[in-house]
Amino acid sequence: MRTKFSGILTLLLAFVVQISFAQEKTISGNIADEGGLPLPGVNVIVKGTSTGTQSDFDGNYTIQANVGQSLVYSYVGYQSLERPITASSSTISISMEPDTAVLNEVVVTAQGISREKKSLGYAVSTVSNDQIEQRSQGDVARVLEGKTAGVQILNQSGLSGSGTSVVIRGFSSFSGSNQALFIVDGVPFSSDTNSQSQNGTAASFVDGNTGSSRFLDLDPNNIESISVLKGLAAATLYGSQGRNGVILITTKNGKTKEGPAKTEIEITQSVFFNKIASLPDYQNRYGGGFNQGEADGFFFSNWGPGFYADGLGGYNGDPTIDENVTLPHPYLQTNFVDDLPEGFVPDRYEWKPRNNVTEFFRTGIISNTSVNVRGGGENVTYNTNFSHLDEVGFTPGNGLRRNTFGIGGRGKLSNKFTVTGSLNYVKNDFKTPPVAASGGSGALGTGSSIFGDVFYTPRSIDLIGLPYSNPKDGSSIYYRAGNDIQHPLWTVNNASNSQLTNRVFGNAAVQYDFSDNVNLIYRFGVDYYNERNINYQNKGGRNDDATYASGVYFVWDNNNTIYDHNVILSGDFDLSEKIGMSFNAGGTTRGNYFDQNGIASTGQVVFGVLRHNNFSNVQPIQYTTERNILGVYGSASFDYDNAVYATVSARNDWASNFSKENRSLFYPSASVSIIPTQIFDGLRSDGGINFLKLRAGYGTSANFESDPYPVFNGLNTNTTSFLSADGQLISNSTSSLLANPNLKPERLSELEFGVEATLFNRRVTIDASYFERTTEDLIVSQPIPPSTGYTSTNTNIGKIEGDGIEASVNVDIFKSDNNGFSWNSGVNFTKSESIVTELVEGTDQIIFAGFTNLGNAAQVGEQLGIMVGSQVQRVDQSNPALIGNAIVNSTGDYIALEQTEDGLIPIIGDPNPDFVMSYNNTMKFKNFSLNVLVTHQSGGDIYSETVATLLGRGLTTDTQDRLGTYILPGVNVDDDGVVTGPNTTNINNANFYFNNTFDAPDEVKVYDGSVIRLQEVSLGYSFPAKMLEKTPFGSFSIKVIGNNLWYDAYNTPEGTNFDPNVAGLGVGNGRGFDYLNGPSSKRYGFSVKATF
Amino acid sequence: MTTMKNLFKIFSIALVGLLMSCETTELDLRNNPNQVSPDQADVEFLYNSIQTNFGDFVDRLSEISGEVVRINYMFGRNYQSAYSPANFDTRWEQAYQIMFTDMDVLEPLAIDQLKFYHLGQVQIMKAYTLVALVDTFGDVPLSQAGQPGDFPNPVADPGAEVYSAAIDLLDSALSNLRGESTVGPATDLMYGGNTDGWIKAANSLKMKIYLSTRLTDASAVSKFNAIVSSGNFISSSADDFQFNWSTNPVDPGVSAHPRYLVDYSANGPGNYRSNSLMSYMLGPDKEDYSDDDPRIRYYFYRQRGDTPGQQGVPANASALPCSTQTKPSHYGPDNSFCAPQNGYWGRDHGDDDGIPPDNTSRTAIGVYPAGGRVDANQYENARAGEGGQGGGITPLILASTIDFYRAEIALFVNNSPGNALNFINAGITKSVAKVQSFQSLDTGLDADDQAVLDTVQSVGSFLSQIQSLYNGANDTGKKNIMANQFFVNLYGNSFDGYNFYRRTGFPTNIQPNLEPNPSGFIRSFFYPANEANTNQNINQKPNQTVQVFWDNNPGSPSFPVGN
Repeated sequence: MRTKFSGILTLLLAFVVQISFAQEKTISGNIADEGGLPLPGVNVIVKGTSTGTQSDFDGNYTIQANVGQSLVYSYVGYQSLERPITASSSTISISMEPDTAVLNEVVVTAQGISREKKSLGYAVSTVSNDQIEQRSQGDVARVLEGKTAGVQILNQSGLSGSGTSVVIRGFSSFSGSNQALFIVDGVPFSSDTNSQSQNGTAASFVDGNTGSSRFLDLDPNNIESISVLKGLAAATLYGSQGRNGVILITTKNGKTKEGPAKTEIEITQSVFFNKIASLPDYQNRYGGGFNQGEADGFFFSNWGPGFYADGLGGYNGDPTIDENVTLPHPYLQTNFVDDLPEGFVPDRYEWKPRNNVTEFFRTGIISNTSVNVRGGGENVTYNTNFSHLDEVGFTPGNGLRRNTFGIGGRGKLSNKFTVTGSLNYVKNDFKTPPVAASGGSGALGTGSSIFGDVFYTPRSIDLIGLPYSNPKDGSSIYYRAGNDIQHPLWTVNNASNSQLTNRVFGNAAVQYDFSDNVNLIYRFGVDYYNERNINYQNKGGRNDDATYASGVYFVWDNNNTIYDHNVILSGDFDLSEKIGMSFNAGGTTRGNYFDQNGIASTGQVVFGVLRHNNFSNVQPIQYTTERNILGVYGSASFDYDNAVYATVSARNDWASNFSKENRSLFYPSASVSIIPTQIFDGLRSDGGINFLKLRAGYGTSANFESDPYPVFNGLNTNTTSFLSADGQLISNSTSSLLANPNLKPERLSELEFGVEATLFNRRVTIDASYFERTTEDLIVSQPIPPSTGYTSTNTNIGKIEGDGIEASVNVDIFKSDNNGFSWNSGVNFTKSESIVTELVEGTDQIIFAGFTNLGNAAQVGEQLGIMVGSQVQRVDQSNPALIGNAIVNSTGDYIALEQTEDGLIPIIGDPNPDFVMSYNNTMKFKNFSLNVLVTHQSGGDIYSETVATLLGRGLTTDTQDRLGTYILPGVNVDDDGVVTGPNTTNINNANFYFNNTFDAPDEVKVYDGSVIRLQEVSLGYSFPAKMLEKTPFGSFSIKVIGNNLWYDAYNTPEGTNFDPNVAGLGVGNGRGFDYLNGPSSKRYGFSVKATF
Repeated sequence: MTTMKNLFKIFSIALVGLLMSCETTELDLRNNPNQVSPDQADVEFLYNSIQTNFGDFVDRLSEISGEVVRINYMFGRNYQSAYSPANFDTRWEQAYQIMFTDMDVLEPLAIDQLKFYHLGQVQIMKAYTLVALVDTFGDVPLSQAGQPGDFPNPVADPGAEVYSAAIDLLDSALSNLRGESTVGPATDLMYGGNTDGWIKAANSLKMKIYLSTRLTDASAVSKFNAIVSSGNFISSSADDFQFNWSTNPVDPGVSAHPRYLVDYSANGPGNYRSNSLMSYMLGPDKEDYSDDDPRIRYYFYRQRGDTPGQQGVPANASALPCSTQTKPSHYGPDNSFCAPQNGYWGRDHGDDDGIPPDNTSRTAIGVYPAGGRVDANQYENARAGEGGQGGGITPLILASTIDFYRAEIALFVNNSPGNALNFINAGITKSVAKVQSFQSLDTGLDADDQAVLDTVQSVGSFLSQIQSLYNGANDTGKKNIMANQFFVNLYGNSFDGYNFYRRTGFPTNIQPNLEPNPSGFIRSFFYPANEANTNQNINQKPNQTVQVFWDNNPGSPSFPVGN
């Protein structure tokens, strides 16, 4: 049908040309994009006629037209331009500006299907490469922060290479993953954060899950564009994998355009400085000690005498500080003093404040080099690139080095076959000192914590100057008499977690065109990586755990493979003149294989030697999981007169790890898009509404995620459970997981409505969505009563109902045609909530992340993920007059309430932000462009051990006022709980802070996590084409960029300078907890990009 | 023709694709390759899982019992919040999820393979565990436990029923142990394969059960006496029921005594000893060593010989904050405050102050029961790998303990103090001999150390010291002496101390909580959080003063009086 139509068109064209006037003249010229690069394929049409041509490869065009007519230049994604033809004009060269409204843009949707954005009945955001490349973050997810509504990015910490959480439209599940699916060049891409768990034990945040999130293997500079599919209607074709939304990445290797391309080499070189952003404001008035007691106690805490001589709290009151303002050297009163040679340390130690923590951190340098080459001929095009990232963390011992190499291409064969493919290799080397969770006193678990031992260093302690290594045996030494803190420098030099990743991913696709309208594509994708993890610590650490202190050396490989096969039949027809129809039908299989192998050695023999044969105990590490998912899907789209679009699609999935009856699930979706401005001509005006689109979508999806083997009951074998006189005892023990053969997949459904509009001469664009999402039959790793013989099972219980709003508004505050001043300002706004509406009967609370008595919980009627823990005990209903008053004990401190009357763990906070906003400004003048991105999170509580420790140990400026006494507001009660009167017990500053902000009920450590952040600032200059004429460069630009230059968590204590963008429970479903997991980073530097 | 060719090509590609996709189309991947299936389980290996968890369970749960009765140190001024429910999660899992479930897998296999010794022994361990659970928590699940399909929310059975189920289990165990079996467990960490010992243990456990229920069961004492008459119980220390730890402190196969690992670590002692117990064992004369309990140097290892604020040593607010404070007014004259003399450095009951840098000063656990060091005035720091390297024991039921059971019946039931004293003497004699025999574990002692140890008061002299105090005391005084000596005996496993205290209210001169209003004494602990939060049929207790079924004494806070 279409073939016929174009034939008629050609005839008509020929006819028109025949009868045209003879006074026509030849116009030629060059078309360039905003950066001065030639723009091939631009449509040039003589207005009001069918005469047209396209610009060629170098952007040149030639066309015949008459004086008085005008030429219209149009190109997808750019503003159309019109130029009149005058008698004098023979050359018209123009430079096209991108269409900020981008409403005619074509976006890549599910399964790689390109569609016009206006036809979509659901929300899709696109982020173009100029918002991604030349950034200081090598992690593509962190680059996305604040750039699109509805996507929440959370950093595990500011360490180079640390994990990143990407959640779209909030949480919908609490046992399955909520992380977005990554699709790179059409095939699934593992974005796992394996977090260094061994033998299948859930990656415990307690011992520090420092592993990277595997999208770190992508170089942002190699990305052509990113589409974010937010809702279920958008992602139905990805099946259950797409339920959390999809980050669709097209790399430059994956985007090899049809048709000839000019060979172009692009080089980007960036250099940035990387510094700690969240250094607390330390006070320098008082030093180490407790209760302003004697300084030679050498406490963890900083409640000692002042650094001033006289007066209350001055060091003259301390008999251990002499007239030279020195005190006995701390090492001379420790339990390792006998190991020190004569004169190893001086006898006396100066009593003065030191810049210890500041000096511990360093300024890291980040260097990123990317080279991209593209080119090709009429039928074969290619792209290849190489990049090298060298990132030095601001924490000693932390760094990242990444090399990527990739090639992609497309060949159009003469026999209706088209072959495309890409192949990428990445080597990623990440290293960090151990970062176990810390409660403000070493590490909570068995490992070591670099930050746990740094941040609360008393001001009088010379962290850098005190020797860290015992000269006798290399073990850690430090200032405490019991030598019970590990010297941070010892940790840096004797312990490390590293991850060396070798990864290959790519795809190959064969397309056969049955006709212009129907084609068949078979695509195979593979994503394989090997992660070599090494965690070690030499013997002589100060861990409570004897095993860790004996020296450990854990080496294991994670091998992960995703195979993905896809067959898609696509067609495109016009049913009548006004009705078009297209369809896709496909089948897919996806296999995930994870295999872990390694050795855990403990008990180092010779200090410092890291070979397994230098350890006395060696244990295997082995763990395997595999899962296949089969899917069949189809979609059909109809359009009526470019004004009404409708799409229906459906998919059925079969998963391999469920029992036969429950392994299959069908999920349909439908969406519609209506363009009133197309239907009602009167609605549209230049000064009013330029474009209006209304959309609605309904989508469903499923979740098969649970424990890898939820329907199998087995026993664990341990060949080394106990070392008796008879040798190692072998044990069999039943698994704590109860199999549930009746487990069904989780079902999600979502309804969304949206509006997109362009207003006032295209100055204002609006894109807003409202969605309502329901998750039913939630798969929950449900803790069950241990008295049943098991501690958990996977069940389908409960329901979560959520809704939310996402909106983007863009305004051209100033517009300029001729390189004058322009200013575009945009706001992204996201607000969503998820309420738990049902749990299984009798279960009132499920704590799914964190500790069993302090973590994130699902509780009926509450936001999913509320934080629970101990509260301050308060007067209850028994005394209505005083209800709510804190109860203070006889020493003047708060009392903890571990559980409510109903036996629940009390609610202490809600980590879900009220809303998240980002504010983006782009200003351009001549060849300069300035971009400022500010993000704002309002609300969202965080339990912070960092703040609690800094306050409780008296380090920051917040605690400087310490000569008076304090009385906690509250009441006293007698033995029977009867109120005896208001609290009048005076306590000193040390007890006030230590007992009531640090060693206190959990509730006290919860702060509002609202934060305003200067996320990104960049100033760019691109050299004008004229200046480059005599150089080999086609374009040359330079950018100065800063990232996270300033932030203010305005509801946390000022002096702690705390950055709430931290994921203390790791990349998972836990939120709102900080266990001294590491400061955030601030980066600034410059980047140069050249093409030739 | 071209179409045909192309079709052929399409089919070839499809075929290759199909072949390659085969491994991704398998839909039966339900079996976990990382585990063995139940039919591959082994009786021996299940037995090992049960016995090692049993030893660990008893040691750690009984440590908490000891904390509330001052045999060990309790952190937390307020009884209501001193122990959060989550404190007990791991113990509860060890009992129900590991031991009981493994036993359920073991039982049919053992019967099938005629491994009745294995079965009988794990039945005794289960009975012991059930008794410990009832004594700690009150009513606990049993009849509906371990059947998740039928009973996803097991009810808590009345404690009395669980007790009687424990008796039934012991009877069944006795018949299994007397039956013909082919072979016993390859490694028996309690009796080393001595089946007669296990039989005595079963009978002795019954005695413990009858003693516990003597307030609510009129026939309990006569049942107790019937076993005494049979003579088939643990009457000699050679038959002591105890879990023997090994010496490996590190993974894999950590097998050193748990309390050794806490105190003999890279950072020195991680725990505090109870000032109350140390002070009591220093004898009436606190100035020198002459009248010390002969076990004190085996129970405690001091890192220094002086205590700030005592015996002319200057107080030190940094190292020992309470050394500058005065004794609280609610302490009695018998109660020590802050720290005993001569370097014994612990903490008072309920002291919840922050932890000062005192690891090099704190008193560590000694060679008994944890396999630590013997205290011969070395005043050296306790470090990892020292002393007996953790090769100690967790007492389960000792012959000396049985003597104290009998002393209780003589003194509290039969009102015959003279008879009671004989049992007290017998108990102390056995206990001292056992404790002192641990000296051989600490191989680091030299002749000088031995000379110091030789100055320790002899058991004979100690017995006469006790005897004269006892004879000079009134009824309450006698009961206090009996109770305190019982507590000294129970160092290492204090379940019986906690039971005794709730049963009799003695000793009345026990060190009070540092908090004058600590809320009522813990009559049973909160249910573990992992059970109470998940089980629809078990609601958390309203408070810590709920009494277990055999405790018919007045409610807290009026009873026990010592708080």
